[in-house]
Amino acid sequence: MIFAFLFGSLMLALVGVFMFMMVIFYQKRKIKSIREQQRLITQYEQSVLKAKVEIREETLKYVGQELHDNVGQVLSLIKIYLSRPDTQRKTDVKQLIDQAIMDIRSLSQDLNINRVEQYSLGDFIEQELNKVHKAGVVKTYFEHEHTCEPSNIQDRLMVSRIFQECINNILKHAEAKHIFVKLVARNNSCVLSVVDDGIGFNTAAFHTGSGLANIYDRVKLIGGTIEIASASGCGTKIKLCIPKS
Amino acid sequence: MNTVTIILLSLILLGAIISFYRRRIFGTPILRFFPFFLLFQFTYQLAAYLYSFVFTEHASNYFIFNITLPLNMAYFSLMFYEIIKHPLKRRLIAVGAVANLLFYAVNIVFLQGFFALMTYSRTMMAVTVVVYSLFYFHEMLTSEVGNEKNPTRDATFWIVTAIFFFYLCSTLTIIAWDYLRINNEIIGPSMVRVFGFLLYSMYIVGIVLHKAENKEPIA
Repeated sequence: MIFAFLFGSLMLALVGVFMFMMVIFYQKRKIKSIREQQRLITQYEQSVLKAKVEIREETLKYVGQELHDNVGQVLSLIKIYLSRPDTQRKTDVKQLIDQAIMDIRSLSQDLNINRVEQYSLGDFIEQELNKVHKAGVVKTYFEHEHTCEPSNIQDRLMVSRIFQECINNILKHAEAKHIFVKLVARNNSCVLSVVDDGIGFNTAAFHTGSGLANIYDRVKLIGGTIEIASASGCGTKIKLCIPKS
Repeated sequence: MNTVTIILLSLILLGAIISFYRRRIFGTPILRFFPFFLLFQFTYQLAAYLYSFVFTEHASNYFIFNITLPLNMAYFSLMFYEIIKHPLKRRLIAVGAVANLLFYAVNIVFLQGFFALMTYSRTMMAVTVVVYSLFYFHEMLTSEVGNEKNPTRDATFWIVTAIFFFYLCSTLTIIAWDYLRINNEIIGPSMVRVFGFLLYSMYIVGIVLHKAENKEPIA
């Protein structure tokens, strides 16, 4: 009886120690997992903030350019016409003033800092492509099938910024004549493809460049995938797949 | 009836009743079947005792344990197959289950026969069950998925730990006893009874402490 009691106590102690150790291991892994989650959340929030700031900087840069190139020129022309006493120019001056008012209205809409949040992804892309098209250097084409929206505002912000970076890269480096953009909803995700007919580049050599690395990091943070296909002289095709949920 | 036997049988029956009452909170179908498995264990162990000590004059009841052995093998294999998620480990469990059952068939026909205690099959089952338990602990410690639940509030953890210790210790005890050829009729059975007591107590504790998983409602 005593033997059984002692032996039972020993077995109980062994089992207890074993379970205690398993619980300790589990707690350590849980703490590590929580820390990793928090790190990813912080990283995501920082990326979203950075994307917001960059979009605003791009907007201000664009507005500054437009003010100088368009509105400034129109106002200068108005000043010249008004300085001449020729009354036939009155109609021309009125038209120029109307033009200036329209340009300033359009720019003030661009200056709306909540533009990304207020407009859908499709509308944002269309606005950005219109700006590029208006410059006259590159022709843009946009195809939009079904409603395609990322699951939350932050993801939409990130995708908008990724799109802006792609367009900027094309304008800076690709020497393209045409840009084709397509946004479709497919299998519970949004697929955005940007194709240009520019000079292309060697994807292996540029993979670690800061611009592309930025794009890859942002795509990874929103849980999406990106494929970049390009070769020298053959243009570039970027395909971005963003989960809707 | 022997007091220790009564206590053990009562413990099994208590475990079956409590697990039956709480079976809906178990996440997996095989665990929801656990109360019936315990009831089955209670039934055949009671039947074995009654056969030997009530209906006959200490006749051998080994054939009862031999009949129920493949059902124990099948249930344990199914249980581990369901709770372990790693595909390679699952394949090994399936192979182990088939090997156990095949060896049982060979053992019953060619080796130990139906009326002798089939220690070879029992030992083989014990070894495979201990290995399956180690698979479970390994997966618990290394898997990235499913780390949210405290193991002490998970009936599966208690059941697997109980099975691990019972089959490891009882098999080592039997092997050591046979090897040392110790002719003591008290210590060996006492040790096995202590293991059995621990096994069913841990089942009951695990079932009582089990916390159902929180599932988010589907929108």
